[in-house]
Amino acid sequence: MTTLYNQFLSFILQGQTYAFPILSVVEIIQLCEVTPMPQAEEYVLGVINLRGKIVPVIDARKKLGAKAPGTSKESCIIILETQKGQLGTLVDKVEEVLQIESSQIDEDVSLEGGCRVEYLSGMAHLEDDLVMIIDIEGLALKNTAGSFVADDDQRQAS
Amino acid sequence: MSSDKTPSQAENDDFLKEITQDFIEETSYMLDECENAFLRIENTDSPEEDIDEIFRLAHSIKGSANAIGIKDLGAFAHEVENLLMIIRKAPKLITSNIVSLLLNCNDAFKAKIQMIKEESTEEWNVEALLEQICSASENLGLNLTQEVQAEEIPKELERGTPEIVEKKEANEFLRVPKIRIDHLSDVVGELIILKSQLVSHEAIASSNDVRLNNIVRLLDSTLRDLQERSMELALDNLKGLFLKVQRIARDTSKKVGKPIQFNPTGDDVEIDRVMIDALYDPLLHLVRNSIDHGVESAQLRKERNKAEDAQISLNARQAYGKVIIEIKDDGGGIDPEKIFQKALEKQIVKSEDRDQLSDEQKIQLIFEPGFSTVDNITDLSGRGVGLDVVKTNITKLKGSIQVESSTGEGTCFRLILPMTQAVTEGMVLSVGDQPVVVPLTSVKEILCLDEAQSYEIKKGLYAMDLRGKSVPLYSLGSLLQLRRPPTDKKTLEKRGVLLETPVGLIVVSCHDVLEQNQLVVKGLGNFFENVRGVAGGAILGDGSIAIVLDIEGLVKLINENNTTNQRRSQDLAAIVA
Repeated sequence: MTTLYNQFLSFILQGQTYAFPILSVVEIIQLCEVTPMPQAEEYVLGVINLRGKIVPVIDARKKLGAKAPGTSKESCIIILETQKGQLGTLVDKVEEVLQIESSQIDEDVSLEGGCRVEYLSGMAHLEDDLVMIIDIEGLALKNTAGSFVADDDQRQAS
Repeated sequence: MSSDKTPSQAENDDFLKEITQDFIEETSYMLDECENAFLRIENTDSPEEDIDEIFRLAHSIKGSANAIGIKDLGAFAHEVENLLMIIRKAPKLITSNIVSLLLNCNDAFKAKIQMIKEESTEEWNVEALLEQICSASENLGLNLTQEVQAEEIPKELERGTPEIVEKKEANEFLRVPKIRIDHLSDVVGELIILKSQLVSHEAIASSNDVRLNNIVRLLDSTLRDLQERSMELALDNLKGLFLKVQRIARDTSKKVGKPIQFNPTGDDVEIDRVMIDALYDPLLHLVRNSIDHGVESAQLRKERNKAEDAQISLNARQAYGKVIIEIKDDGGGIDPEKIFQKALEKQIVKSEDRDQLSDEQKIQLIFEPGFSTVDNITDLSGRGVGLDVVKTNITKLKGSIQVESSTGEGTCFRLILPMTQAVTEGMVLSVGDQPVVVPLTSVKEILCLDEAQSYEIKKGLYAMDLRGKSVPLYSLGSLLQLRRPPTDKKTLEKRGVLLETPVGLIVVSCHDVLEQNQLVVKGLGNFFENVRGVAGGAILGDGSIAIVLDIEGLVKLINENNTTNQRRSQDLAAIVA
């Protein structure tokens, strides 16, 4: 059965295919000017002006443990809707909308494939590719704010 | 199938929710009206009209509470109605105690409405109050207790609710969810940004086409108009707030036994809705302060040939695009010497400052953190918080507070507030190639920095000489830990901005001062909760985002930097002192 729940937007990071659940994707925009934020972690690129709204953007490549960031003409920002609000993620290239049945998804992600496991919700073995499905809340929550909170606690303790 | 039932059940729930919502809004409005009337009847010789009004309102509340099945509220309203019935027949019997009791009832109503609003399951405990009402009814000598029937209520009173509705329609007010206004403001803000991009676009800026230029000019003025009008939507008058303050003044006066006359004026002045709630605490504190500390005791007033009732006035007006709220008393005024002495004890000042400070400056010491004029902290004004908290709260609203006092004649606290919180007057600075906005209310001076004035106290810590005074100097870029730090501090950061902060004056250095402008400050959402020193972001004319500084947060950052290196901060303190 085709529903929105088993559609995913796939994209490329450092040659590897990843995917976001399509229901969490708001839009895809061109790479635009990003204003850096003070005190932000390295993977936080900063904020962008999305039609008058200020939206934070992270570098998904750094977030997921990939190296050598750099942008090309194909680089773009995927805007996601998370529980904490909208979040943009920089990716190398957007691929396509995939239809993945839940039976195709292996939720055991203990096998690390170049990507940090805590942001994965599963892996899908498709005919010609291995697609890593990203846990959006994990990406949004653990990363941006979490590390700040940790820093804070340390400061207060000292 | 059970799915048949669910939609109709849901519909029913929705309907109940809707009428409950209507009830809450309607009743809240009526309770405010009631409170207003209660406060009026105490200060008038002909309270009949107001009592009629209250009676009508109480009756309507009882009716609608019973209609939507809030039985305890209905029953309570019934008892209150009985009491009102008696005083309606004999207005002469109204005493200040009765008014207090009725005001307490009003509070109880409000508490219940709040509980309904929050869907609280707590018990609404009004037993004690009910007893008081019943005994008051009995004491008033007329044994009209449970027997009041609906039929006995004069015909004209039955029309209570429609009359209120009519009144509102006459003023043509609309209730609009706040979120809709916010969305509208967002879209208007977006339009403004698009417009400035359009206007600065090469093809238009350099065009000789008269018609095109005309259209652009018209677009510009129409958009300005639109922006102003959408801003007006966020405004509300001060009536509700002033009413609450009047209530506080009354209760405080009773509590400390100093009779007062409270004179509110200008409650039709309009201000940003979000500020109305935020102003309650500061005003509450100031009015209590005036009655508790400002006004003399009745005895002393007599000795000084002053009227027995102290005059407390609360005045609001609009001037130079700001809203000014004043709280004035005709008490003894503030003694600068006493204040100084106190500040000395609290180690806020040093004894050699005595001759340096003018009387005016000595009085300003009351806003210093840790200052409190009365030794025995009363549960009224004291509460462990001082006027410094009031000042902080007002500063948060981008406003300022002043105090004027003349010995023997009284004291006046003046709050100067922006009309709206949506637009901030800001100074746009550049740090590297990044724009940073400082709220204009904090900017004291723009300085040209040169090496001769600034000196290094210790590695990484600077101060500068400002007309003979030593002021700590920080690089804005490194303080905020911006990603692109300036490479060569001394040659690049040629501008300094003198800022007023809760801990005194500081200078922050930046590369350039770009412009002064009205900006719409937007929140950064939930992702940057722990970023310090940043209040939000503002979108500039070219579409880029500028970081808006939060001065308090900035001070915290400085303190943090200092505590990470104790020795450094001690050195700094030595120099600053």
